[in-house]
Amino acid sequence: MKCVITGYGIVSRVGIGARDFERGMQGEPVAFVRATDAGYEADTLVAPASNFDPKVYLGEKGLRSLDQQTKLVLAASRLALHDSGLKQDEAWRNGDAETTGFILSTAYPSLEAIHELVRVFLLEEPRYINPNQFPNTVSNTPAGYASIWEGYRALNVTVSTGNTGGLDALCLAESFLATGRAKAIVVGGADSLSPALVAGIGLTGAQIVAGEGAALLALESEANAAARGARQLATILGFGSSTAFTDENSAVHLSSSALSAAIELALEDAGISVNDIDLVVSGLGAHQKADIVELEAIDALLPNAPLAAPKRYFGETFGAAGTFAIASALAWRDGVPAAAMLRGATSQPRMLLITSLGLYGNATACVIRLNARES
Amino acid sequence: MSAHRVWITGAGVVSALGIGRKAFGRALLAGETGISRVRSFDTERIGRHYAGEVHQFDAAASLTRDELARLDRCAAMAVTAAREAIEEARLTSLTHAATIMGTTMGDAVLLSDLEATWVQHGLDAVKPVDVKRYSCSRLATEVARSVGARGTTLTLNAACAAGNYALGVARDLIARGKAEVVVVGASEVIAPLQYAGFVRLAAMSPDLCRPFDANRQGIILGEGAAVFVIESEAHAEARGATPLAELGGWGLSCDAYHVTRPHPEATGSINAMRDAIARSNIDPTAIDFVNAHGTGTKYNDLAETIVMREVFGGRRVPVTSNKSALGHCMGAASALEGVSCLVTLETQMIPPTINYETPDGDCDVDLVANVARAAKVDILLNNALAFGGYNAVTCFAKPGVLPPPSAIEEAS
Repeated sequence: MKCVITGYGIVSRVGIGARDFERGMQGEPVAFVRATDAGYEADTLVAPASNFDPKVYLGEKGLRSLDQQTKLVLAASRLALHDSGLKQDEAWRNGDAETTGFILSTAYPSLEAIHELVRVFLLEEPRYINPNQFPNTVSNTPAGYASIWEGYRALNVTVSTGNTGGLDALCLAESFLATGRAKAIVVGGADSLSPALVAGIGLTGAQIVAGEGAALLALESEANAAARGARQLATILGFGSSTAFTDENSAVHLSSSALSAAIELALEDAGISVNDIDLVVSGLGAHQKADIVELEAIDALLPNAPLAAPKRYFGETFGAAGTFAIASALAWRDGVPAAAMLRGATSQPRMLLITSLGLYGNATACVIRLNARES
Repeated sequence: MSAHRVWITGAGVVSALGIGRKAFGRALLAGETGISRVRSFDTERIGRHYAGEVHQFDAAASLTRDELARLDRCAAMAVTAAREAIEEARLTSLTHAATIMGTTMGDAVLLSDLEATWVQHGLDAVKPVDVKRYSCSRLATEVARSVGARGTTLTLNAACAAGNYALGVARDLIARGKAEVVVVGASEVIAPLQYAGFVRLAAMSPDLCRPFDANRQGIILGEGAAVFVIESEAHAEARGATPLAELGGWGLSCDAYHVTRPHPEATGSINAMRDAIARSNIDPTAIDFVNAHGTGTKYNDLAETIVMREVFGGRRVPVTSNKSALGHCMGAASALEGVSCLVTLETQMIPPTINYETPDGDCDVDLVANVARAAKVDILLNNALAFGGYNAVTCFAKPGVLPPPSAIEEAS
């Protein structure tokens, strides 16, 4: 069974919604901002979704006890449903609640609520912890809210594998569709900027440009998409993921051999070879140290393939990075701007390898085929 | 091509009822309690004082010095349980094994400690090396690292259904031929903020957890870890391993109703249980026992009673809740309860729901109350519900009892 992407919803620094994002990804990257200028305590750069106003997408009601991550998720989820035609203007069109599922990847969930409530707990009294806010300390709450808002009843899953999570969520979605647990799944990742996240990155000195956003794809079987006459933007061809460690006893572990193994497994799963790849959409561009390791793996296997670094546009979006990369690929169907290319050039890439390197010894890769734009 | 059967060949436990699955099973069947006064933090200002803390856990007993340095308590318990499971499975090479772990928050204690240092001593006092240690993703990757598994790693955050989510996703990997061996389980620790939060939700009992009792007053939080080794029938056969049980089909659904309360008509939970039964290729009549989620809250136990009535009709299927003894171990709950399911299949004894005194007319389930019950159990279900409207049900059976996996579970 082949799975196809039939639409996507995105909230990011580059753009909000598929069209706006596409336009942004075809231009020059917008400069990142100093974390201190965005109100955070860290000597680092950040990429906040500055233009995001949740009320535009969700209305005024029911937003008060939601954290920023949940608002990003809800807006992107609504945009993905609209873009795919599954559900529009609060009405299911040719999709339905019972057979549609939702899967979210988040690398650093609940940091906003925990940061705030720990202060209530320590400095005030435990009895002032707001019970409406407490569920936000539970990591699957944003995904749970997506089901409450849109009605996804077939399944709801939250996965946390750090920066590879977007692709890992997609791989899970493929499995759930293949085993007939849903007809369509809105799947992707979201992480928000928060005082704890940005301060934490600042403390580690990692020089990661923390980005904010949600990127959710509407995924369904080719047959389901055809039956409902949906656009098929891209086809998922294969996945691979692996883990590797050296003897170094550190918590953070960047492994090029894990990524090499993941790439080889993904190519094997897709039944293609390195020579078939028109473009590598990498995880490069927001974390210098990780870039060196990721490049090592890509260079070893695909030294000549055109290589894009989409994170130059939206920063490191952590749990959302994998589906941000796929959304970037969709935005580049008719060509990749030179500003996004690390090497080589490509006009109409079709066969793409998406790579993502985890911070904890893990790595995931995915092969997709882009379909030509329908006129 | 038909799907692969999935065998459980090893299990390990770190729990308030004992370290190691033998001690755990013995204590469960004896009706012992793991609930005691909270020791790891001061509960004075919180207004509740009991939990199922794991006092006996000594990380140094099973971890290397390097592991002790890099692992938090949540991952340390998981690694300990994983080692026991791998030893029981007599598995010597795990190179291609996947690792899937469920949790609510991973190491919530580390995160509260970092935040507390920030509040009390300023950001400069927070140690970068400790910041780098925080990530719930590390639960799965660190288990993989410690046991030498180098395949896919996934941490599934599915709140109080996380154990079943992990088991289910792992099962599908093997059933579809995507992995031959998976190290799978769940782990959770009690953090002060979470403890206080449940109190503020008015969900925490002042003394005991009394599932299905008319006077139930809510949950008692617990902690622990349980990990299994599961593998394809072919893989187990090839290495001459003895299956402890078969992991059958599983069901999941989402209520899409309320972020903390189950659907009052339990629709999602009913669908998940029916799905688990259908995907195991059996009828409801084949189910001999249900290990309930049984949190001891008003809403949960009512919802589960409806599920039992709707799924099994007039037939009274025995039910028990391990949470009366272990407390609610959140993400780890359904994994620990999965080990209890193994105990039942092996001993043909159902552990009791302790603390049961007053029947509730609205919860008229066939509860195994206070004393373990001997019963013929070939096939059973492990039920879980969670925040976010998450429902997941797994099926455990004696090896060879379930029909072969069906076309709906087609291997790719």
